[in-house]
Amino acid sequence: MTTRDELIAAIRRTLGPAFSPPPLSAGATGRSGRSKDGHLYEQFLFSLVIRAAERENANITYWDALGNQVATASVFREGPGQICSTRRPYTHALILLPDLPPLEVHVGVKVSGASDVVHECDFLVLPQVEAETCRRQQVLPRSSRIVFAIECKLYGPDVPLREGRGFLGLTMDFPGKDLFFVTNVSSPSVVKLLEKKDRLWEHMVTPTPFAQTEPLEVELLISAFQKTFRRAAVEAT
Amino acid sequence: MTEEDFVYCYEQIAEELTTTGRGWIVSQVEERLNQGKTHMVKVETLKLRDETAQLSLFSEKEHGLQFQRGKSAEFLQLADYTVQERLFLLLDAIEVLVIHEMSLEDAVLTFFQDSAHVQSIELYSEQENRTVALFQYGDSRQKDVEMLASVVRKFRKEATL
Repeated sequence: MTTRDELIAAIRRTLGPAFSPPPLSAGATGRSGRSKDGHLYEQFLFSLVIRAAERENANITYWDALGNQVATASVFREGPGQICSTRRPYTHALILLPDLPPLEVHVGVKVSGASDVVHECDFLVLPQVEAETCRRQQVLPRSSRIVFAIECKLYGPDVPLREGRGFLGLTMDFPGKDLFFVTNVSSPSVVKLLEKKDRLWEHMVTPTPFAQTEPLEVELLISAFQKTFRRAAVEAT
Repeated sequence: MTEEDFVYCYEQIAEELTTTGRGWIVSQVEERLNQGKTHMVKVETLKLRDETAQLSLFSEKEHGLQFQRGKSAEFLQLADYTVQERLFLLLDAIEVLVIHEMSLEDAVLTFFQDSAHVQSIELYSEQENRTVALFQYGDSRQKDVEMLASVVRKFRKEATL
């Protein structure tokens, strides 16, 4: 039988190397600190949107905020910022779909809602013309012009109801737009709330390590993105 | 393990996570703990003995007598987590996040490598004005993750005895 102190020592030994990314500075955050982990969840959803677009026969290229095609490294924001920021060469994707104007896919950008307040979108798809206007005029994208947005939540335990309530509030300021609530774990209370309010959600969306096939939830989400692209194409014609 | 051991272990692991910059995991778990656990229970309701009677505010005895057994109905019941459940929730969260993180990292790096020949992904914080994370294609933490997962499983087993 192992003692409690031996177990704790084993946890201490294995915890650091197992988590990613390796800390780039010694600045550890407190319990209320922002997560330095989990941000690859947004990039994972980025990859799912790109796959949805590919299934719709899109042509896809990657660009940085300075107008250069991405070469060897991708740079993303750790927290939401302005689409016009050139502090770093942030990466976005350019999607060319047959029946739609060119679209851009961004991670972590601020958007102005219908009530003219600023919202933070973990993930955003919008027409290139809107994104370019924002870059040139140094303004925020308008919620009325977006194609769709995603709220991404990476959790260990179930997602708390607070997140669902926050998402409901957010959707009120994006009338008529597809907003998805996506999480890596199950979230019974949030799902119950969002389903009752007819909102778009998918939970347990995560790649399965070492598996040959995608989990069902991943496939369902890709299909939902495809439907959104198709609906946008119908509206655009 | 005793109840005291569960509390001690929870505190020690939470402290370790916090001092190594993973305090957000503890925050997530504690938010869940503060919410408590819920389950549906079927209970017998009460009904007024005489629907037309006025409730007396002055006589508790008389007040009580005015109720009688009613129909059964489902109610939501809220309870606190036990100290053992608290520890298990923290261990579960560590396991889920470490495994999900590794698979996310692999999936994202492979995707960008395949679609844009990108070798690395950088996360930059505008607030802190610095790069907070750098992921390199080809790095694998699979062994480290498996090691931690096995320690967590052993911990859970010992805590169940």
